[in-house]
Amino acid sequence: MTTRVRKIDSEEQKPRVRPGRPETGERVAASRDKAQELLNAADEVISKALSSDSEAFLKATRQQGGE
Amino acid sequence: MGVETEYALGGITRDASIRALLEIVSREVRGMPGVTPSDRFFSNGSRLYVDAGLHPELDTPECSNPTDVVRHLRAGDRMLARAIGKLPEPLCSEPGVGLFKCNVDYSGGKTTWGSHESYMHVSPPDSFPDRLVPHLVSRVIFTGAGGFNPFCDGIEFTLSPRARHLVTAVAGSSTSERGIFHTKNESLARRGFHRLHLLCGESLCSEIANWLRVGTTALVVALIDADLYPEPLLRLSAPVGALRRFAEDPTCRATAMLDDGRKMTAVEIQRHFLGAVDEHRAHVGMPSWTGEVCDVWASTLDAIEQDPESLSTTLDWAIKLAIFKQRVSQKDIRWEDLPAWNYVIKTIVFAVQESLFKGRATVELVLGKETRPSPIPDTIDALTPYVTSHGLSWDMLRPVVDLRRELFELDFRFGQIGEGGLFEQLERTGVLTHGAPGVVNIEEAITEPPSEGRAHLRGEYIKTCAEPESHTCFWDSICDLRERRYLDLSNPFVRLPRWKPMVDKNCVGDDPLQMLFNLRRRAG
Repeated sequence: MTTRVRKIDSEEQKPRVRPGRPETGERVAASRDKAQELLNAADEVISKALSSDSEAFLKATRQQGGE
Repeated sequence: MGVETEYALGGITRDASIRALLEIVSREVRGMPGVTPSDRFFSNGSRLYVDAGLHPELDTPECSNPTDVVRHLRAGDRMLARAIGKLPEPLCSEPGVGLFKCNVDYSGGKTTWGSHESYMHVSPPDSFPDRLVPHLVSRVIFTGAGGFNPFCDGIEFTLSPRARHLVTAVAGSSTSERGIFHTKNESLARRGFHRLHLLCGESLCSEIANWLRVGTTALVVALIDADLYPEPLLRLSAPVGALRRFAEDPTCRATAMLDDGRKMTAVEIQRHFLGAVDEHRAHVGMPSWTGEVCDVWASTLDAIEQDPESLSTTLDWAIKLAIFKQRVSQKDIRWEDLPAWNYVIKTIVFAVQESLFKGRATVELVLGKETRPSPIPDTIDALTPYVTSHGLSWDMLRPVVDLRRELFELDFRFGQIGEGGLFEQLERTGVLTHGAPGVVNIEEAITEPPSEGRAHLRGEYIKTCAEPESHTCFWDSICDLRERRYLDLSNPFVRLPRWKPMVDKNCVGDDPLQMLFNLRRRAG
């Protein structure tokens, strides 16, 4: 057995994404601003992500479930 | 605790894709065979196998805190993203090829992909259903994946698309007649330990949603185990109906009736559990991370109560709702008109089904815009006053139908694994605020197991084993077929490796082949 050693200097130790702890009170207004940023970004992202034929895409992903 | 994720695998030749995917992962991440040829455990303690229905399922290792669960969920996604990106031609060029964390099928197949949760406990299993159902029903306000009612012919947003597949409060089946509470009692550990297996949850992309999902549920389980559960019991009059009401209301103000005649919102029910956990946050029977979960749990409920849209960069369902609403408005369709459109579409679909028409009934055909006559002219005439009185127009029916398919694709694409995924791309732009406390070193979690428990021993052995292919791994044991011995992992808290000879009544006999056969039988 080996003992695991954490890489304390690694880049990954820093938070990678902005924290998800919800804002309260007056900071709710700030989260509204963030929502607008999201919508602005979503426009560009969606245009890249969507296929030209959603029906064909849905058929291609059709399958049996598991569980 | 741990989470299983069933991924939808898109593409035409899925059997070839899934074989290739497993080969790539097996080549790139150190692992050990499981009990079937398409089953593998990895050095981080996780397991990947091909589940019924020919889709990959990745299970996190057993973790002792929500932060490790989320780290390993993210690591699993990353591991598979790399593999799917290396699929060879022609597999990688097939239409729709990819891995998706989507919870329901919108193509009409009525399929749902599971994201099951497991929680170890020591209390008798029959003490859980009544006590846990109110939590499972009301947690949907932060654990919902968001999406659309897959059984609706129109466009009906829901906090939890999978909720429509849950038809009873308590059940033992996982493939039909699914229950909010799953009674499966397969401990995968020695006597005295039980495993609560939940199937009502959904695959999520948001770290904090996943963290709260497993953190809050583990704490309610801990309350029961520590005999601290708040009495009297909150008993919902109709749990399935309550789940649907909560899921259908993005304002999170819907109420559900209790047996005692009171009505409570999901937030109020959650505050009931939060209060009980918070009261005992320092109790010896509660985990060390109780206080941290309570704090985030409380602020999340505050935000939901004040303004759910303030979570539109944080929780899966709220992110999706914001994006979907914008998409709808860009098509010059009002979000508030969707219920009226749903009525129109449902009425048309029903009328076509009742008619003698055979074939594909397009929008243009039913509206009489083709050279052939509409199969349902009377229905269209009868609906026209409704359409006009609601400010709709028949000219918009085609755009609404096209929008429906596009929104369904968007929901599917949201959880696409890898760079093509909507969530992934939004995260790259930095607009999301979904990070969970302490979730760092995801890259390390692809190869390293949790720091404690049997997953640690499993992972460390797989990392150092010279001949992994001569072993067979399962959750509670690793069998060394060459040395005819097995590593006993039936104690979830085992700290030191303890090998036993195969001749043991708790193992599976002294013949390696017989042992494999028995393991496979147990796995089935």
